[in-house]
Amino acid sequence: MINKIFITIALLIFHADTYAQDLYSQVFGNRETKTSLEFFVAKKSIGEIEVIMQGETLKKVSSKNFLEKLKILLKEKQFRKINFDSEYINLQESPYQIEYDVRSLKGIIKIPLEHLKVSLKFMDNNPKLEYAGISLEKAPFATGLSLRGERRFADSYFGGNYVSTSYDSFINLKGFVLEATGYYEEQLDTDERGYWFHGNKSLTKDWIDKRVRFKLGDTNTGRFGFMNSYQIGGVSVKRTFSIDPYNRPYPEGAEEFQIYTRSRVKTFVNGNLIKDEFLPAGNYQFSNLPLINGLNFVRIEILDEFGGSRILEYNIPTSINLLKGGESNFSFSSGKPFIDQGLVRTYDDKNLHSAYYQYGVNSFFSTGLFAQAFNEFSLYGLTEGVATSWGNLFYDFAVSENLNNDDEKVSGIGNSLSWQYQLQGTNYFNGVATLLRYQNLHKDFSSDYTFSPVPIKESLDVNLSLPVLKQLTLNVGAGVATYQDLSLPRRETLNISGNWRIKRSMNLNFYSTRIKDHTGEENITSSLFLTWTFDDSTKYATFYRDVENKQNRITFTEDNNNKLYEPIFTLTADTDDEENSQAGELNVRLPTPMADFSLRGAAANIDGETYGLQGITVGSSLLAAYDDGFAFAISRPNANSFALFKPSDNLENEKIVLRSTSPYADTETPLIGNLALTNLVPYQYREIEIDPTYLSDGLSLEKESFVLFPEYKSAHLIKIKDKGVKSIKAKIIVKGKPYSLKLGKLNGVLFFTDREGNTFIEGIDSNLLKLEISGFRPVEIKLDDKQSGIINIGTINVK
Amino acid sequence: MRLGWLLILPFLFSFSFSPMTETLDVSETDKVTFQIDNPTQKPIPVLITVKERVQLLDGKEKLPDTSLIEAFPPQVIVPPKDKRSIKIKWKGKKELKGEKSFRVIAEQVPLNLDENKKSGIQMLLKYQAALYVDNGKSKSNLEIKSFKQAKVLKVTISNKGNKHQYLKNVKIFFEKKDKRLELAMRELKQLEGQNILANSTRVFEFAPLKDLDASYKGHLSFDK
Repeated sequence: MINKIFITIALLIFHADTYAQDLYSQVFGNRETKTSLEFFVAKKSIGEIEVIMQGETLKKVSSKNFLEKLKILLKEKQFRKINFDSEYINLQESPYQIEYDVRSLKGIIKIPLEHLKVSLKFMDNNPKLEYAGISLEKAPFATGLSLRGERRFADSYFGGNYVSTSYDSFINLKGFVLEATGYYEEQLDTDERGYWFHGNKSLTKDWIDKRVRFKLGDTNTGRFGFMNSYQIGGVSVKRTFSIDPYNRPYPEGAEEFQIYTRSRVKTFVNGNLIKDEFLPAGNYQFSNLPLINGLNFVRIEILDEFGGSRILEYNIPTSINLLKGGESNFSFSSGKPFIDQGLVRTYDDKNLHSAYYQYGVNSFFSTGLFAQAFNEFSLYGLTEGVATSWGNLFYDFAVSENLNNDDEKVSGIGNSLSWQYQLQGTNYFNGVATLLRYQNLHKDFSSDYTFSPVPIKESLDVNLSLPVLKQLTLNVGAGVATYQDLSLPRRETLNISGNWRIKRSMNLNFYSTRIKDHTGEENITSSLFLTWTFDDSTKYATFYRDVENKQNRITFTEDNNNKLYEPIFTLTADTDDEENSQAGELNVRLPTPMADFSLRGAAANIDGETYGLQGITVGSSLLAAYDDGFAFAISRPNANSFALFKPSDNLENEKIVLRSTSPYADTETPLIGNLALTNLVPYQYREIEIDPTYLSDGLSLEKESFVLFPEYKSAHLIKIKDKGVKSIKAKIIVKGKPYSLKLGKLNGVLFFTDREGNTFIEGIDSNLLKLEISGFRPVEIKLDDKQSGIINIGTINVK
Repeated sequence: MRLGWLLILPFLFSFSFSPMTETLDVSETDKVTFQIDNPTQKPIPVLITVKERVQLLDGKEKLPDTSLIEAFPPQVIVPPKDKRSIKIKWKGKKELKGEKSFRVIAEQVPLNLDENKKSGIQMLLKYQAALYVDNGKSKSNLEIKSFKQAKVLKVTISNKGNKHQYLKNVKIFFEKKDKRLELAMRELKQLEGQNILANSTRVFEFAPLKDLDASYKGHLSFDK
């Protein structure tokens, strides 16, 4: 500021013309003055740089200051070319033209936009930016137990009389999540006792900033390249992208585009308008575009402030199997593999070790390594992937050691090459998708620790997705493989599937496959599935036909749009021509704030014999959390994160309704305990609103909307506070005139008046009211002790 | 004395009010909720009033006061980046013969802080949402009541039913024995989206229709 004043004064004294310049020189000679000047690049301020001025002429700039700014602004490649020797450089020495604007007293550096570091577009689409700082933290302690019980009264055809219970539980203490699942089953028609099956038990901890999940207990190993995934009891450490779902780890292209003036920019991805925004001049690169697997068609329409327009089009390839530049993915795990057989879990004695690491070298190329070892089996190799405008190419290589079917230790090599070409444009035939995969495996190669009894030698698979008509898409797949034992016939597969949107409300899917394997037997399956939606999309009917097995199924469903206390009806009719059976079933599910109830009735006719079934299922959960106070709830079944809402004392007997994703209530005040919002998806922001419609007159809430950020199996405890039990209605007259459109305070609560001096003040608890108006003495009013709700105190005269 | 809290002004910022159309079915409930969303960094004072909605022939409205509806709270200061619900309660009889129309008005208040400063532009927002109070059984019944052709063709459309009706894909035609005259699509564009309240009449003007005389009878059709 001082510098500006100095320059302004200097300019006022010495006019911006040669006459003044001459006068300046005559008085002061060619004296130079050091000062700081604000500089602009592409109309954006980059802060001040030390300069040397001579009168109104900018002579030199500080090389240190200038370099610091350029380092932030320029791409590394451009910056590396710049080197200054002296403390100050003349304007002629600058790699970029520098101008001085006398009128606005600012410096302008003219840098080609392509030389500037890119500004990433679409970052502002990221909800993390929108909700950062306003979303609520999770409770330090949470626990949940979800229970489901079923009692079935049934004839033998439907499995007989039966009772079952299942549980899904967790405890979260400061982000360390201990969880366990299991179930109980008992057949009541037999002498056998019921049994418990205890499933996965584990301790999980997520490091959110690093997107890393640590799991101790029952977990699974990573799948990568030729490497298979196994369930193990042990430990795993994995990069988990779902921890930050708002940042896409996949390639987004490296295309840049320049905007030379502030412009309106419309961005289309695969024909859909994604964003319509005003952007300042700059060099831009895409970030977080909603690209889908394949070659995406991106169109940018730029309308500048002078009315000129430019259209830029790009084909950006991406693949969920690749990573963007600098991104990495990994999984390291070790433990004993297990299998669940006959409701018993058996862990192997030996440990299995598995690891992979993948790195995105740049926007187009990713590379990765993997290794796995178990007992006598070992597998290691690499996977390379490249995204090009001619499709995505992947190459997998692996070496294995294993015991073959004769228990001999053998080793082999496997190679695989895939080409994926998938257009995502809007034009006809732009939906074509092709996948071609060739595998060549050595006779002793094995990607699994169990050696295949009939190992494959070579295979070629092709898949083509073709939009035949606007409403009809066909998928055709074919594959051929030879076995290591060349005397065996080739394996041949052929499948055709399609989706035909007959009309807006009617959709037909069909599927047919033919497989012929080493046994020479031919297996054909074909089916079709018709869906018909009617009315307001809450009612739909489906028809399924299994052609080979001559089975038909018609289902009619009336949905409830997730509305509490509204039942969902499902009516099903089955026929089986080969079994000569007909069956019908009615299922009614009723969601309530504390539990989901389901009633089921079915009847079947098998070869003239009639069978029946009646069943009832109840699903509920017990939830609790501690966060500067304790709350618990009995709620609908929950298998994920949840939020508890604890009302203040004044709200305890009030009906409170919570809304989130549905136009209807997600939940409402239950008979016992607090309100619970269940099954919140971890790491996705969720807006919750409290609907005060059913609160008593005069009661209002301190806060009605909240943004939650659930973590893995976490809970939020939110205290719903009222503003006070009294609301005051009054008319204020000051010196005989309405106190119109002004502010005041009542018991410290800010209020305003309408044109007639009327006011309405919520959130008052005390019976003694103190009215404060600017420039006047406070007025005190005493209320009746028993008064609550909306209290009209009439006219208040302030003198 | 000037109170420090007066400095929170001016409130020259935008808010949103939703929904813009709501129906209160008295056979199910006596309350509905509207919401004010303040996405700005400043608090916004909003005044809520409910007026009866009377539709005039030219589509303009008269908004007399009503005691049938109560808004709670009738005034609210919406904190920055926050939302506030406004409860609208039906105070009238539960037995309704037909739909009643109201306007729920949410108005940003131009608070006057300085007595001496009378001038200045204040960009303040005012929303007028439609509220229909219904018994869940009402129905609209539109017909062409009359038409008169001089320099322009004036068509009077009457809603004799007890429910409002929005006009969509309207066709107006005139018939006499085997003769039929139809208004051109470009003429009918002005009717798209127009609303005719229960027991109300609207007059629309069109370019004259050749050969049309008083012996014809007017008809209209539209998508429901």
